[in-house]
Amino acid sequence: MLKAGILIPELLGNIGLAPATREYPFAKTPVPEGFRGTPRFRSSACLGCKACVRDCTSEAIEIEMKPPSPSDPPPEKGRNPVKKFRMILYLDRCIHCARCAEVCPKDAIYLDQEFEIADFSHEALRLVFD
Amino acid sequence: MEVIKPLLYILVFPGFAFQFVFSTYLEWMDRKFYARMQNRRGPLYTGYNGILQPVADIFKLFFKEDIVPAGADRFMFSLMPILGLAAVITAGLYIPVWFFTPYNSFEGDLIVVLYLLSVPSLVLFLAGWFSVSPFSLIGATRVLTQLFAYEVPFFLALLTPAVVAGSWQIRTIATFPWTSGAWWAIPIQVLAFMVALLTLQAKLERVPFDIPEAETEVVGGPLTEYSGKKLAMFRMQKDILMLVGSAFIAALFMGGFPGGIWLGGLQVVIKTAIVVLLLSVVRAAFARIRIDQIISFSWKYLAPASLIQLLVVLILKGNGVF
Repeated sequence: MLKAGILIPELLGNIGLAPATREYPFAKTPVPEGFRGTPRFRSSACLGCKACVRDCTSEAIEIEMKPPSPSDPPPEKGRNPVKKFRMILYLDRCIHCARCAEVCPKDAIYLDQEFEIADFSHEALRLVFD
Repeated sequence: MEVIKPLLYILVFPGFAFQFVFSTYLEWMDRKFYARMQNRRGPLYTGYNGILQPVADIFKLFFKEDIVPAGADRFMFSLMPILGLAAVITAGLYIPVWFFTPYNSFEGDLIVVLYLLSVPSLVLFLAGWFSVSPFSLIGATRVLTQLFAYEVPFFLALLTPAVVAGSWQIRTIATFPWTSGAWWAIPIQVLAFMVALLTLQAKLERVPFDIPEAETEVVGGPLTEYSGKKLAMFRMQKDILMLVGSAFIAALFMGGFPGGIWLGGLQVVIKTAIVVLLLSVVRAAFARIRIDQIISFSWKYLAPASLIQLLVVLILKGNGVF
């Protein structure tokens, strides 16, 4: 037997309830704890061990030597020298697996909560951390 | 002046402009109500609470590329949307808004309106037929099959108030409960009202009677090959058909729109909206049925129900109750 209109009480009841959906682009939803967003880099903590480069499954990280610039102060004895390498992160390749953050011995890489990073150009998705 | 008045009547009120604005408003209301029943929000960002979303949708379609399929009959393919839109707008000219006698009203205009409201279904069939696509052809045959199911109960249901009022003129039928004092003629016709509501839903090809346009089976049915301006015209046709059908059901079964300009105008909006909301509850509460199910449903239940209603009314009428 067809139970015609069995849904009607529920449907009419729904009118009084708040909508189950959110107005997404205008009202942001907080992301959960431990969310893997965009990788960020703390260059002061980095040793340059390249563990992240080796472990990155999508080859999204590059660490390369910086070309010497004339504005760099000359190295002095007994002080930390200026960092001579920089990290390039290709967000268009990154799969947000957080391997880099896990493998880093100094916790120099962490993933923040930013996830709206889509863009039309590759250039905008190439982050350079000096 | 002799020229301007009919022109205003056709183009502004209650012609094209009024029908366009009111029908897009009704579509917005229908979509909003439908969304709220499903715990969604519905249109939100175009205008106040998305009230301009149907207008925006139609405008967007007007600026899209307009493609005629290679093997299609170009003339007939382009004629169909215009013909369908013209038919529903003409039918809308007979809405007895505010109890003014419509400009072109005459004894028997109910029959004209009923036939004008059948034109969209035939137009849909021909549109599918001239698109020479398998999906369109299947959709077109389904339109006709479905037409044979709902058309007779629809006519019979709208015949009931005409029999009650003893007139074929829509305005006379709408004013009957107030002029004769027999207001209880309205609750008596509830069965015919429900049949008219369901068959209007079938005429509009909305869930659960959207078999010709079943997108999971036949893509878009008769409208598969349509795009751009022509599709926009079909959308307007569907919106205005919803307005005209609901307004006529409100006029015939809900006691018309009495009470002068403001009160009468308010009643047009409220009563038509009530019919549209009922249609939207039907749309939300049921899933699409098969083509054989709609045939058996309308001939086993809808047609007998409208006949029983007619019999009740005729017996009351024969005993001089009205």
